[in-house]
Amino acid sequence: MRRRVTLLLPGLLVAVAVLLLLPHLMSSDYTKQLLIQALIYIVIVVGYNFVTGDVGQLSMAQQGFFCLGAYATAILTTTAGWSWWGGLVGSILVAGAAGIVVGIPTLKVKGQYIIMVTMAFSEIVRLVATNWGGLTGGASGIPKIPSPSLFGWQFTSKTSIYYLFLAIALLLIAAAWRIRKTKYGRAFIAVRDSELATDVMGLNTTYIKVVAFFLSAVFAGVGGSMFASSFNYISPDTFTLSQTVLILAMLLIGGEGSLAGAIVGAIILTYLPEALRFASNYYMFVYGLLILLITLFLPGGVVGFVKNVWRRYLGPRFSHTPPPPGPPPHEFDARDLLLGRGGGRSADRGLRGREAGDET
Amino acid sequence: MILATQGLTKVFGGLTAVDGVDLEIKEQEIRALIGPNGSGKTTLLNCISGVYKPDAGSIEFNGEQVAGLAPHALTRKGIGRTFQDIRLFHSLTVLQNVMVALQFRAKAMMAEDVLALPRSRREERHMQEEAYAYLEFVGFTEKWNSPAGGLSYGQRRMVEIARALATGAKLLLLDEPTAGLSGAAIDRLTEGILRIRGGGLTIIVVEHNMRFVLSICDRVTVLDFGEKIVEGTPDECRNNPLIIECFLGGSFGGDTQA
Repeated sequence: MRRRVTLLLPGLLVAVAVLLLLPHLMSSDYTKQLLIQALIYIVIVVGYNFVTGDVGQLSMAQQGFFCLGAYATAILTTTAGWSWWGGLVGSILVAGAAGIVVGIPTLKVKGQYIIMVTMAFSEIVRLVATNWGGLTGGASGIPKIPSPSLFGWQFTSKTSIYYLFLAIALLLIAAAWRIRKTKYGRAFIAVRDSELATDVMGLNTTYIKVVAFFLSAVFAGVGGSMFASSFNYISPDTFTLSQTVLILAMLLIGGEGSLAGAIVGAIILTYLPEALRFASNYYMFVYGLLILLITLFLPGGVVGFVKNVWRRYLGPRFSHTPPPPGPPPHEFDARDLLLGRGGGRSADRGLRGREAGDET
Repeated sequence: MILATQGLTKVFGGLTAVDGVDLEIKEQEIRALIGPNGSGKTTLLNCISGVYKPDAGSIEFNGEQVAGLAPHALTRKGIGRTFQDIRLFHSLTVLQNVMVALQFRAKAMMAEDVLALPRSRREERHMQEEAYAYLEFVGFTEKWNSPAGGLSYGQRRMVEIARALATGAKLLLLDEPTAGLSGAAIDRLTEGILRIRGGGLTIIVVEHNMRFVLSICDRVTVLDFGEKIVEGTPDECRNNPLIIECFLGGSFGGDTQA
């Protein structure tokens, strides 16, 4: 354990230093914009991981929530003249409410039907954005969206926006990490592994799925708000079906059901088009081929692959496998629980106090 | 009387899988449901645990009408169950599997979990301790921190029973608990079930293993084509010519497994 801690601290310091220095290593506004874009996708895909990675429901609605979030901030900060803060909160509320409203009927259907219904939702959102000209500016979109501002601070330069968004992304990643580590995270995975068994454990599985859907919508809403306020211009063209597929591909390539996978996948697919510039006309071909190869040969995504390699080849050689943590402390005997001697909690259960051997 | 069903009926298409079954089960009774394949034993269990909605008839549990409630609602009232094809959460650890059964009582909101506030941390620790205690009760703790997907068949059975107990069940429904178990494992299971009953629980068990049924159960209910045809103590059943004729080809009792 001590070895791990001594490695962890310098590792963390290096990571923080790299994250802080990153925008200064980028020469142009364009490369800085890519950093910002990566952060936005990280937020969206980390949220998407709840519903599609953990609960295992293939949702195509993430792009619809992303769109709603972007338009909410855009409209609130331009037409309504709200502050960036207000726009962000508005995006969260609009996307979250949509998550619940769409989630309740959608999650009762199964399998392929979820894909169809959620895809239809995303398309409807885009079509409304295109055609409700009075509110959304129609096909020409909304220009001149103000950049983020906070307590009088104007985040106008790309570098300052990067720092703000880095803070938001880290906060949301930390929240996702906590959720996945505690009871909701376990319930999500339980639903994926066996919905019936989860129900028999006293949990309302529809509720659990709606919670996951709601979380993914909120994260996408934040992503949308970040997108609108950093690009300063949005139009329906951004929110097409290919965006939906891109978000799904990020999760699959990174490794679904893994927080690190969601982050890595978002980064890889943000930068892959840049790395493939040399291919010019063949770019889409190479891009598609790479995605095909990764999904075929790395079923656990890039993160799953790295974990496997580490466990199989490098892990035993370079690191002591950490000793298994001791059993959790337990102050009472299970028999006490069943016999109703375990104090208040087991008394709740109405187990009657009887001796173990005493059979009728 | 902890459980009483009257005229319980379940129809699939044209097939009446459970046909007007009346059951009366006393507290701390161990009741076996036996019958040939397709006689409606598991369907009856599924009706009682809410997996299927019965088409007719009533189910009274603890003096309350519960027919048609969802499984999670019935679990909260005190009906726990296991599955014939064991359904563990294979990507969670053994301990986490049992923790899932405890969490419907947890009160901390998601925001408290995210911020690791005291109530959330306390509840998480309690769930860990309690889950571990249930694993101790069924005598399977050595792999508490391993993924449940990697366990042997017998180990998975024990975890599934620990998980059903952890829901706080007063009535435990076991669907073929001895299937796939070795003789020694069946002996351990028998001992475990007797201890669970000793703890004040009532148990309904669907079984094919006759030696197990005869050694452990207070009463036996025999189903055929969805109908209850005989009910009685193991001794009465052992000598009932109808049963011998119907299911057991004349060699009922002893070591024979139907």
